Amino acid sequence: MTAPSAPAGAASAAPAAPPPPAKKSPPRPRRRLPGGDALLGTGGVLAFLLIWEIVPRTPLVSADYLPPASEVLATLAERTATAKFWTAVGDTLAAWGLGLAIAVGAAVLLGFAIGTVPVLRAYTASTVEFLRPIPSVALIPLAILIYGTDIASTLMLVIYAAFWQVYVQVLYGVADIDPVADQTARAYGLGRWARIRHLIWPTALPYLITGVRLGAAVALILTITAQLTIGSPGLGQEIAVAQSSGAPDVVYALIVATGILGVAVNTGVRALERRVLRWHPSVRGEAAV
Amino acid sequence: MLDVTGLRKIYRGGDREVEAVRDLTFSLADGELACLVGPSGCGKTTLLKCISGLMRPTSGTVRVDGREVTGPPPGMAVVFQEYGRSLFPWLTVQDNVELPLKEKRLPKARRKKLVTESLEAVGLGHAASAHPWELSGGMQQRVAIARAIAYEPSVLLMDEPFAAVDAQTRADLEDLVRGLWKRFSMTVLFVTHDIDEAVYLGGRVLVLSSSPTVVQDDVEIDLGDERDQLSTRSEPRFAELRARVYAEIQNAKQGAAAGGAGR
Ligand SMILES: Nc1ncnc2c1ncn2[C@@H]1O[C@H](COP(=O)(O)OP(=O)(O)OP(=O)(O)O)[C@@H](O)[C@H]1O
Ligand SMILES: [Mg+2]
Repeated sequence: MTAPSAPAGAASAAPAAPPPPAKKSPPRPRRRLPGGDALLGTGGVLAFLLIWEIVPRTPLVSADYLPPASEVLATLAERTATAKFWTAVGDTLAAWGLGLAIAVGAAVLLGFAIGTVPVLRAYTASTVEFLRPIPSVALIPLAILIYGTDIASTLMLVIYAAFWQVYVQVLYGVADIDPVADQTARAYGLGRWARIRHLIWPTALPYLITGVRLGAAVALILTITAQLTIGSPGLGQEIAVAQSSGAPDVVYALIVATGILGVAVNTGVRALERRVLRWHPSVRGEAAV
Repeated sequence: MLDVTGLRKIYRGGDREVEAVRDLTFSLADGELACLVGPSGCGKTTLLKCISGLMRPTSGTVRVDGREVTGPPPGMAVVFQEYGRSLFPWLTVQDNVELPLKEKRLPKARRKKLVTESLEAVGLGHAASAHPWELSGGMQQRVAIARAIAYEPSVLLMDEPFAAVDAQTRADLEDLVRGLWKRFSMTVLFVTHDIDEAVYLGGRVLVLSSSPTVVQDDVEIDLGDERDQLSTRSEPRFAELRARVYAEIQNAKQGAAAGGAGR
């Protein structure tokens, strides 16, 4: 479920440089040192930009369809100086954030309510299996029919797409309770609510965060898609406008901007994950038992 | 205090049936410390789960303080055999110990005192703010024990609680359990594989037969209340009792091999 790449890197880096502040005998979870990975990643990006810079200057691709990287980045820099760009970014983030928040809230409530009651879970299983694979984009005509080009139509798509990502993870998480831990909780007199709060919630949390990470990415994709096709305000709509006014460098600049947004979102969720799941084997590094 | 009558448990899974416990009847008086020994797989854990109300027996009854057990009875603490999995990895050691006390709605100051005292008692005062997965197996086991004693139970069930500690720590913990038992006058049922440990700890040793399980023998341990690792273990009476329990366990195995139950 949670990808172990970052902690694995930190774990292998730790023995070489023992954390100096660890004085007391039970060591606190160590800080991770992403330095090595970050360096490698930056190198990759630079190489990519270099190729992008060179290819349009060769006969392989016309610069009309693929302006060189320097040009696109210059356009992007120009754009970021305008209020219009930031309004578009704000609109995109607002639709994304609101949609994701509603999806996560609904998925957590329903996931816990249904996941902790086996009868309900079995009863809804086939409906979920039917609804889940429906691609959100297939709902675009429906969304326009109901809400027009209002932000509500974008929200509808975003919520639908993100909800299933989170909901399915919550269901897995709720089902992953260790029977011994559950028996312990019951033996010590923890009631249903106390078990949900102190046992089921922490057990499901790693799954929930994985769901949020997947959901956040899908929500961003759907936000841009909806703005592109429906024309509700935001980066997606800006891209459509740039395309119809024949400005490929602007199209590319905005695409790069959405890419950066995606990276930022993913980084944010990962940081959240590390904060909230310090105790979890995927995060805590080499102290694993 | 604790009455087990005609307890029988059959696990049913699909078309497979396992009779874990055939027919167990015994009683523990208030404040008694009894040890339960028996071959692996004879149903000791099953018995403890029925007593602690985590599992309904197929037939027979368990009574605690005269009341029939249908769910986890209040005032009972359990130290599970799988101690590692019974600690919550997202809580620190002290939060693990404190959680059941919160559910008991004890005031904060009282909780703090109980947590500190019980962790001190098992020699883990320094590890209070560590997480369980930062501790060794034996330390985790001691956290589980600390959680049980902080709960101030009137009945304490322990399922092979010293399996993962070294001999020296084990001896210390044995004395700790006896000390706590005397101090808080709890009723203790202590499951172990170790015959020496059973005889040293218990006022009584219940020997279970191998499956199909019945109570094979009920040995009174008349070694007095003041026990000491060195002198008690070197008493001739200790050797006699030890030999008796040993013989009963051998009997139990042979009984099973011959296809009979008990004597
Ligand atoms: N959940 C279960 N489903 C089916 N059979 C079970 C289950 N739990 C235990 N058993 C069976 O019941 C019998 C008794 O198991 P139990 O765990 O009570 O033994 P035990 O005396 O505690 O053994 P040990 O000393 O090794 O811990 C075993 O034959 C086991 O296979
Ligand atoms: Mg057992």
